[in-house]
Amino acid sequence: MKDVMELLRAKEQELLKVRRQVEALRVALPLLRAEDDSQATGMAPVPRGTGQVENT
Amino acid sequence: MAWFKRESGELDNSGAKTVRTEGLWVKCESCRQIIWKKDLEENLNVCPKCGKHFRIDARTRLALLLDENQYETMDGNLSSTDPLKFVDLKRYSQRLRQAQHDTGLKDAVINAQGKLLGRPVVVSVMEYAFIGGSMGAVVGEMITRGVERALESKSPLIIVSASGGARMMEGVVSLMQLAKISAALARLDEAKVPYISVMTDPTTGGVTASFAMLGDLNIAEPGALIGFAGPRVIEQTIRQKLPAGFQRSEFLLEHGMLDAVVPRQELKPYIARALEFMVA
Repeated sequence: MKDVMELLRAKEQELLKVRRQVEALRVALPLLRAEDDSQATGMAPVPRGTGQVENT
Repeated sequence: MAWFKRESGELDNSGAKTVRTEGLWVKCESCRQIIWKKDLEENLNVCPKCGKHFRIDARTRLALLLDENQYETMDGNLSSTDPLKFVDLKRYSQRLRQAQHDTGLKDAVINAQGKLLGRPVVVSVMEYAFIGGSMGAVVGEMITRGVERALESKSPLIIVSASGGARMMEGVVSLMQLAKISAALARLDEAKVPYISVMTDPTTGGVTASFAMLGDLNIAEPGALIGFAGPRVIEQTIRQKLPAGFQRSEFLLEHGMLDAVVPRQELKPYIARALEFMVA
């Protein structure tokens, strides 16, 4: 059986990690939403640097 | 002259000479050994041969966890009103009366406030012998009051679960308790008051689906059955054979559902040490 102090410390670290991941997702969420909105209004999506060039 | 003389009258075989052995021995379901009941009780109802943890009642559990004579029980006056006037094979009201008579409790939980190795704690202990430790309106209310008491006094909360789940005889009222207790525990979490959940054999159904799994530390006794639906229902639903030891505490620990499996003898010092970390 693991020592309870060690176990709780590890649990706390895990919790911190999850909190950081949630924060990162909160930052990414508005960016994804903006992309979705632009598709819904029929606007061309922002190029993603794929190197494709349109013929004029 | 004769050496022995027959006394007149019949021999008296009544009463005092009869030795009753019934109830002195217990057979362990796990190792099939016969154990002297006194030995078993001295070993905190753990089989001295194989370590199987026998079920214990709520009062014994309280005596085991809390410092001697330093706790008081509370909320013991609440009793179910049988809101649905439910009848199955028997009337629910009749089942309640029988359970109250057998256990000396009004419902399937005891709330107490006391000290655990000198540290003040609030404890709720479920009683499996009371209609399978099922959770109806009274159990829900008592556990919620326990949570609120912990919140008020800023004392750590310990809930010892032993339950078959929500009480069917109270229908949706019993299901409402899941949300009610979970909401109270969320408030406790916001206030940063520690909550330790101790799962004993069995902890199933709505109790697992709510407060039993919401502890800051979720621990269980060895070999305890812990799950939501029973293994037979799961096998029939997924049409697969379940692995050995499925829904036992060791299996759940291995698969990340529990933080630790703690033998009964070590439970009190283990919780005390955890509280030392949490309260510091």
